[in-house]
Amino acid sequence: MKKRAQIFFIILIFVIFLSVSRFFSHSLVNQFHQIFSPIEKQFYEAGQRSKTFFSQFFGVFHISKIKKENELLKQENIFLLQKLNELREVKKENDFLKSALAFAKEKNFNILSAQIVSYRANQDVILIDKGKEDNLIKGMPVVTVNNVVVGKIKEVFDNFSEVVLITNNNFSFDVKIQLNDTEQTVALAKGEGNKNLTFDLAPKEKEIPIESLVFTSVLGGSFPPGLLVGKITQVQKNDAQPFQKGVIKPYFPDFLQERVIIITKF
Amino acid sequence: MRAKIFFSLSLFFCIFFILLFEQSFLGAMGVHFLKQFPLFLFVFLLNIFIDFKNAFIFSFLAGIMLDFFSGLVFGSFCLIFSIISCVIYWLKKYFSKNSPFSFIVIFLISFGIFKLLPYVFSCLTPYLEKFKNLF
Repeated sequence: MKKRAQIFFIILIFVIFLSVSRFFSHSLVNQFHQIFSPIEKQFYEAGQRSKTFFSQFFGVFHISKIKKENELLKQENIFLLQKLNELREVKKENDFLKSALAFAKEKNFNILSAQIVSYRANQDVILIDKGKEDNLIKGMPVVTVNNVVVGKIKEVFDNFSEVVLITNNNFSFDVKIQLNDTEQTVALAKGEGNKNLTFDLAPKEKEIPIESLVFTSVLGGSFPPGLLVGKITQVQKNDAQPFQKGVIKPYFPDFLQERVIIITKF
Repeated sequence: MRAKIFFSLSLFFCIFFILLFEQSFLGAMGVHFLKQFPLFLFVFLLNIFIDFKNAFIFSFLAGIMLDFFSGLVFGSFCLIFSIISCVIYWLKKYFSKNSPFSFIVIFLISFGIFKLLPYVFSCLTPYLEKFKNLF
């Protein structure tokens, strides 16, 4: 009878202990780990070192497995390189579109971006991948993202368009030449083919310095005003002629990348 | 008396080092199939070779310490090891002490109960659902 009472008493204490311990176990466990964590850490580090050692030691017996894994990793590496390249292309396009958006916002234009498909050097014509289906029409100006004039849409197909560059033989448009900080003069830019551009009909009395910047003019209405065309590299002034003419170095070949912007409304 | 204290302290440190070994060392090595096994083995041997009263106390201590380390339901290991101690005591009564066969049978039965107890507890009450994670 006494023994039974003892067992009952032990069980009772046990149950009470477990019930009560639930309330302070959290702080108790915390204290315990605070005291013993340095030793636990040592054991953990030893375990990590042993793991490395054993994996190296037993690795010798798994050469075929390692070989197979190596092959898989090589394939995965090639796949990832391809993905990386794709991402680079996407980033490039994204950067371009961001700049294009900033350009349109600044100038208050409606724009459309297009990719250059080919370049016909002998005609100074480029082919872009947007056409009638994208609501393009003849005469729309084409620029680079840096506000540099490229040309105008000459022919529109369903999915493609031909853009005649400003340096084309038959191309002419009004420009203004920035003489200094305050003064400007007007002229007529003419394409000479093979990426050459000249200007004519500039008033004789104006002194045009070399390196002057040339912008599109509101006159003529071919292009929105203020777009960069190029810079003056040569000026020919003749007393017998009523106007002066010269050579413009167009900027667009330097800035022409894979994509261009079509200004659909200005 | 001194020898008894020395013996108790030695056992206590043994439990502590086994716990560190299985919780930190084996864990870091990524060995999971031996989970809680070394401590069980130690408790089993204690219960086989020393008297029930002391073995029960050390089993209880081992359980409490494992509770501190495991961070699961506090008191669960304490309860399980105490029950295991009682089970071994009971089995020892019914099997011959000197036969290696009985030693293996006691080990197998106690180990089976040790593995089974968490599932039994988890079935008893939804609160003890966490017991399933013990092993």
